[in-house]
Amino acid sequence: MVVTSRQRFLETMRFGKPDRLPCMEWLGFWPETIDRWRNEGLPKYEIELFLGLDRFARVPFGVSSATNPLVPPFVDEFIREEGAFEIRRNQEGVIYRLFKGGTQTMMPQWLRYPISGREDFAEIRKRLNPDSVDRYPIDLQDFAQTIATRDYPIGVWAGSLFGWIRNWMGLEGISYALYDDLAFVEEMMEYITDFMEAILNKLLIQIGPVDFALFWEDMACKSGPLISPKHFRMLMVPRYERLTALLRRYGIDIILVDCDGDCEPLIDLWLEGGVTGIYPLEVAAGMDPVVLRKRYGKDLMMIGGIDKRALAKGRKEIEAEVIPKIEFLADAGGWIPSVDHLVPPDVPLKNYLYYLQLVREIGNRNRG
Amino acid sequence: MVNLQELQDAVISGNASKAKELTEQALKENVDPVVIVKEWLIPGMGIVGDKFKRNEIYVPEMLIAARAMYAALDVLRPILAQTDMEPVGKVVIGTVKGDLHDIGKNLVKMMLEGAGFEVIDLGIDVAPQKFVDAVKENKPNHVAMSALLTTTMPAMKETIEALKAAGLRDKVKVMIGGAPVTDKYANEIGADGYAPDASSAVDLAKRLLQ
Repeated sequence: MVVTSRQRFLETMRFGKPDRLPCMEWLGFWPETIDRWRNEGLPKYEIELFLGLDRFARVPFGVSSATNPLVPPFVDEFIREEGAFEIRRNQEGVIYRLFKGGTQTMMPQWLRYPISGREDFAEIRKRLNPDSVDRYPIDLQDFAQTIATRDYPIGVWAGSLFGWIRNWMGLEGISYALYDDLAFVEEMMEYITDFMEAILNKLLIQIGPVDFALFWEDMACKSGPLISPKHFRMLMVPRYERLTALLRRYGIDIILVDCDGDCEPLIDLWLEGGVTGIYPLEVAAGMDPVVLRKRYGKDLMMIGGIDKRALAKGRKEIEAEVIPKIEFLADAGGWIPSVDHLVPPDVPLKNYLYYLQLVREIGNRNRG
Repeated sequence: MVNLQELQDAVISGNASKAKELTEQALKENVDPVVIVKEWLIPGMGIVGDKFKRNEIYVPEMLIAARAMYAALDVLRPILAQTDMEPVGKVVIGTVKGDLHDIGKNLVKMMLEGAGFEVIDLGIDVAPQKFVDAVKENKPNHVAMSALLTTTMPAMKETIEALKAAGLRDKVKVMIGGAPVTDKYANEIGADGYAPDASSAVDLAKRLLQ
């Protein structure tokens, strides 16, 4: 019997018995990584095909990216040069400084955010219209038919309660606002929740059930969450409950949140809010999928947790990182191996191929 | 009479207006500004740092505490300038060459200042030679480097090599931090210490003074 990528994904995440471990790179690759790999022999056709990865997709309508729900987005524009740098504005309205000709892996220096006070939210609100025609294709029914017979999993973006606001205000801005104008933060989160409910209802009624939903928060650093669990519980849990209840009404039972850093203190709260899993489990921040599986059992789905730094080293380091995790987690279920962020450009192609070889060898063992 | 415990509590709880008001009141009552700083404000920020390390408070609470401390310091600065109060130590800090990330570095700077260190902030994308020049000019106790990316971490090693080449390595302690940085990496490149967060950086900076 042929097992499709979709069946394999669903069976794995639901702690069932897949034919083998899915082979996916959930967050993908930095463009610079692909550039490097082209010089190391990567053919010019689609990378996922060359690597033999299981396919997955995200619905490109409604909210079409994790980090930016604004339609229309701000104009991505050059503002001025400053020595070796250029000052630009991105599509989220943030003014930033980047090296001239800088690449995406180089995190820019954020200079000014679109929201510095209540009055600025009006401009953002104008770009958060769930009914904007630019958010959808001409005929959603066509799209529904296209994906109806899919053999790969497809998911929807479910929004971001903290991450988007942090992007619009900056970490310092939202931090101060939590104490200077808590009602404003709550008002923005409520607006986002209403907005996402409208988007998801509109989409899911027309395209039918999808396989997973993704929140994006990135609300932790190496030493822990960026806001207190107290604030999280008060502001975010009730709104997560609303959105996850809506997703469940449409049959979606794989609801994941993207959060870098050490977000472990927030896991219980996410679960309370109806989220079922997390990714990408940043190892440098202390996230360990083996520890989490032992702690949470089948209550927590996971994707990721493979240390990108090990892949940049050599075979011995890759084996030490990958083998114990796969041996334990493949049997425990509910986990898909993936690098703990986008694969960075210091990873040679041969190392990545060796990592995939291990995923296949160990992930296929005693299965199917 | 002013209650300086209330001032410290205002800093810890991040009440900037109260911290300012109580500091002004203390000065009116001729309380020694050095006492205010050394016995109340710095220990107050020490408590904030400890709470952060124990996950009792988070970045927002740390930021509002620092804002309250600066509100008090702004009142005190003109008077402190006329005293002979010495900083606990001096730190040259920067994000390494090729890296533009400054949130973590700024938090470390803020907490070091809160602990009584004088901090010379070189900013972002700081070349090894710029660290060397700053050490020559300012004669700090420590050099603190931050990197967010695995691809910019090697600049930390290059900076240490540059300090060695300039004959300055034994004049300063080198501390490093940032998302991909580890204790092991600090050892590998010959740094004197690694701190996982802003509060731990203060502990490390104090320890390295001994």
